[in-house]
Amino acid sequence: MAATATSCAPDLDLVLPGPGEVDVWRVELTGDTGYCAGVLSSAERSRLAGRCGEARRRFVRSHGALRDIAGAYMHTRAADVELFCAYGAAPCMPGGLRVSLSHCEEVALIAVARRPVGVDAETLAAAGDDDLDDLADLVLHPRELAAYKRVGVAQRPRAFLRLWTRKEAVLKARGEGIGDRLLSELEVGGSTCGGLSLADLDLGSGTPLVGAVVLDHPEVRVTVREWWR
Amino acid sequence: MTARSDVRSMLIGALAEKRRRDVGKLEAELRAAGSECPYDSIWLVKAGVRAARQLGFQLKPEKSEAAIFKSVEALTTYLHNKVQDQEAA
Repeated sequence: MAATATSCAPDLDLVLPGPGEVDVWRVELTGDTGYCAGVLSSAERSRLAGRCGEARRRFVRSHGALRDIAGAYMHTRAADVELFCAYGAAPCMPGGLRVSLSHCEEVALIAVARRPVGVDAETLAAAGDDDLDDLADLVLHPRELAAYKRVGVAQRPRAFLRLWTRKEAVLKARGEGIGDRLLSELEVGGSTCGGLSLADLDLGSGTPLVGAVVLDHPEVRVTVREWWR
Repeated sequence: MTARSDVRSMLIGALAEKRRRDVGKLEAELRAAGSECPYDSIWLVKAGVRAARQLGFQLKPEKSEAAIFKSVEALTTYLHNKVQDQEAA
């Protein structure tokens, strides 16, 4: 399904999405890091110590934005948000808020819902070389692979990334990681996967990004918003 | 016999090419990240596909081997074991 596109200032008191709804926040990672650095927890600062350069800036911006957005829903200061974010597991917090974070180059997507949620985005550059068919053979379910091979060569990168991002989003909604199961086990070509609802993200015309969101609910409606600081 | 370090160099080379990074800079980023992989998983999987092809086989792990994609070191070990099997045959 296509997402609607709106924008919203982060300072507003936000209302949690209803059942079956997901807010996906698009965060540009090229901006200033001052505010975001100031709201990180000690655990996040420890993880930050292992990063340098652009990886450090992206981590600060994305995790600061996550705290800011979660705080707006929970009506608390970003620095006070109780966010449990173990590596390889879906971030969670008290109050019924579920979140998922995806980075892709200079953009992060933060999905917010009442139910377990997963979001993923990739750039078309990630699928644009002569290894793509071998990659598809490795990670696609046999029925997905058959459909992929019927697509014209020029459309294959986007077709592949539609499936890849859905698979990654499924893993995130389940609190799993890429090494927990083979991606070819997951069949994500339809609107559901193992009780999870799947939706492709409309991130704007002309964007090199392909994205998907997954929600543990019989249906999913997505609103894409912009975050800035 | 192909050494594990050779296989690792091949994998790092493929990852650096995919990420358009200098190998030395990429190694530094991997060291700094410790147990976490600093790159999105699609890049490591792609580098594994490329390295396997260069080593003469297709990357096709079993269900029980899914964890090879958790880190550069795990994937290196898997690829090296496959090369050793190939060389022993």
